[in-house]
Amino acid sequence: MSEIAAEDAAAYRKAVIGIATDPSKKVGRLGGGPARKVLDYAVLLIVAALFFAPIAYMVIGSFKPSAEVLDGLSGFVPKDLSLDNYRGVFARFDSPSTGYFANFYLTSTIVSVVIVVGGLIINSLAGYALARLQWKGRNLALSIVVLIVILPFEAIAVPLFYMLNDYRNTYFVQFIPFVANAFSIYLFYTFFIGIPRQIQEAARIDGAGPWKTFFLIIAPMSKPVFASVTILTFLAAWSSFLFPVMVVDQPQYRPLPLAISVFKAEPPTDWGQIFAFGVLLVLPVVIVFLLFQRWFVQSVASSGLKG
Amino acid sequence: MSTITYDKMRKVYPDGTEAIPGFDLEVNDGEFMVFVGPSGCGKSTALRMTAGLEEITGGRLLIGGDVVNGKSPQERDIAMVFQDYALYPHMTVAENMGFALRMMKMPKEEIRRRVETAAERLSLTALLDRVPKNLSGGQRQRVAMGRAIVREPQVFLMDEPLSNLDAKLRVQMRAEIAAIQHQLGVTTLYVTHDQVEAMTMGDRVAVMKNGRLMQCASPQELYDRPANVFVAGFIGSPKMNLFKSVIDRDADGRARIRFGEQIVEIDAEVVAANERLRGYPSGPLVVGMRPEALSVASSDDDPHSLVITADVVEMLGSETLVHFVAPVETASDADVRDRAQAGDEEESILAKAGSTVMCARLVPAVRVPNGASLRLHVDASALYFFDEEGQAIR
Repeated sequence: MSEIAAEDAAAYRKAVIGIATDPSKKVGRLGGGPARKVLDYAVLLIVAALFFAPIAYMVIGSFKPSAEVLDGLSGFVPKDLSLDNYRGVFARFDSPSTGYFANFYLTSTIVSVVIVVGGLIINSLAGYALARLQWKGRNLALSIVVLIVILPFEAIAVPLFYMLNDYRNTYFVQFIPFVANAFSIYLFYTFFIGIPRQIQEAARIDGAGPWKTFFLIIAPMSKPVFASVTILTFLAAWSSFLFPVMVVDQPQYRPLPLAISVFKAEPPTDWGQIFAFGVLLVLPVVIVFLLFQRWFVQSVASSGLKG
Repeated sequence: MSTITYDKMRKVYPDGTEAIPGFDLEVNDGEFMVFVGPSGCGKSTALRMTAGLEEITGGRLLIGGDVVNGKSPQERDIAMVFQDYALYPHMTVAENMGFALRMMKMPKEEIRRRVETAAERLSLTALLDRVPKNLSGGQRQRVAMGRAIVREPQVFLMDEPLSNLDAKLRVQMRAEIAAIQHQLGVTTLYVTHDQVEAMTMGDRVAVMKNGRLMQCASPQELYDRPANVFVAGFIGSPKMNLFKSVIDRDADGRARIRFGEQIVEIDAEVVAANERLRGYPSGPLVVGMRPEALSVASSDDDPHSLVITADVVEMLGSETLVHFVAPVETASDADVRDRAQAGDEEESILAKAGSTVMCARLVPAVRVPNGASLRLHVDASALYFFDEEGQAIR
């Protein structure tokens, strides 16, 4: 590369990507060679191990005898494995006074599914209305949505408790405050606003009204945002704890997070069973994530959203 | 009968901006009408109002004799091709093309038949199962055309449909669109800012500026008989040289126009051929001189010639373009808004105050060194004359 061409290239890089360095030049003392690559991978492996270790510890521990679970680093060693802890969990919850394990699962599933499915419909329509339909007060409504996004749930938990006091110990009370979600609306809004207006106009000319345009054109084009909202909402709904603590005191309406906290507090504390409970609690989240991760990653990459 | 009639159609935005102050035009049945003009001239707004995508503030719009002001886009029986094609990315080519028919609740068999017929016409049969992201720009363009064709509408509306294609493909698609339109005989409104597209495709071309119709005529008529300075400067490439001058009349019917310090003679026959110029008094006027009206003079005594200095020479093989700075004041009816939009295009670093950059197209190509002095013959019979208001004298 001639000197002038190199200068031009550097100026171009600076203008386009904001940095003036030449990528062909060595970076740092290790340069860009194999040593650098080894270091990069080593750092990535350590970070991955740090994230993965607690999960591995829990999964391995859930199959080990309780006495060997909390055993420092040897807790990672998979030996004397059995399903006893899982059997134990089911055995501990087999009466009306303790509640049934299947009921905890059923409660969490019903509440989470209603929040996710209802939320996808309501919040996506709200996001679409804010992004694409013309109506009076739209900007004010958008400002209110943004305002609610930054409002912590704890701030409205007590008023909600009093509003829904008549519905305590039901499924309804556990999902109704969470179906409409300002953060989800905002995610949908930002995605829909990025869809070219011409697509919507083409649908209009093709004879599709607002509903058909949304359900036949806009929604199928928006898989990444639907996947993101599904994962984020499911995660929040499945691990919801504060509000169930306030509104549920009968075992048959307990969701899993509430049940595990009660379980942990009740003697005798059996860490093997607690870990088994933990695995059963986390499993659906992993399944949902695996189902939707392809679009979720797309959405994170394109919108800059951090999960 | 699918005529389109604009009867004093107006568009005023809620903030008070008047995009179209009053538009009158009749588009004939089966005609290919092109709306052309600089950006912001209102051509796309007029098209979108025709489509029903913009509300009409005042006046009437008639399609096929029916007033459609209050009708929704689907009730107007139109099809539109968008600048970015606006294909539905999650649908296959066949689904894209058949979507409007599906919305009409047409039987599946009829939808399939129409889609296949249109696909065959557009050479899309092999691509019917692909999604738009797996198509090239030209193929997407054809799908957008196909989507319009299958509806068999009264009117096609096309909003700069070729602007996203590369130059070579644009030329090819230009011919294809014109051919399809002539085969189908559907009334078509085509919006473009590219005057070459307008001239090559349109049966008639409507030149617009600031929401007003400046002239509507056949391409040749626009070129030969521009109604005003704006149309004269807009139609033709390279653009017409327009400058302020003074005409001096002789008693014997001849005339002379001033070109800075130089004089160009106009023979009596040329003056006699122009009815209004014949009666036009001596005094200021605007002269238009197309680059192709200039050629290398054969002798230094030529009374219809100018001496210029070639500032920039472009050798194009079959012709030579000579750009030169002339000591005359440029003539333009561009108002402040136009100048702001034209930006750098209008300004030239070659021209100083009171001078104009002009162009001569020399055919066949002549080798001229940069900076050389050159005598150019002016074909006086090919000059255009405009009054001080910019209206044609003819």
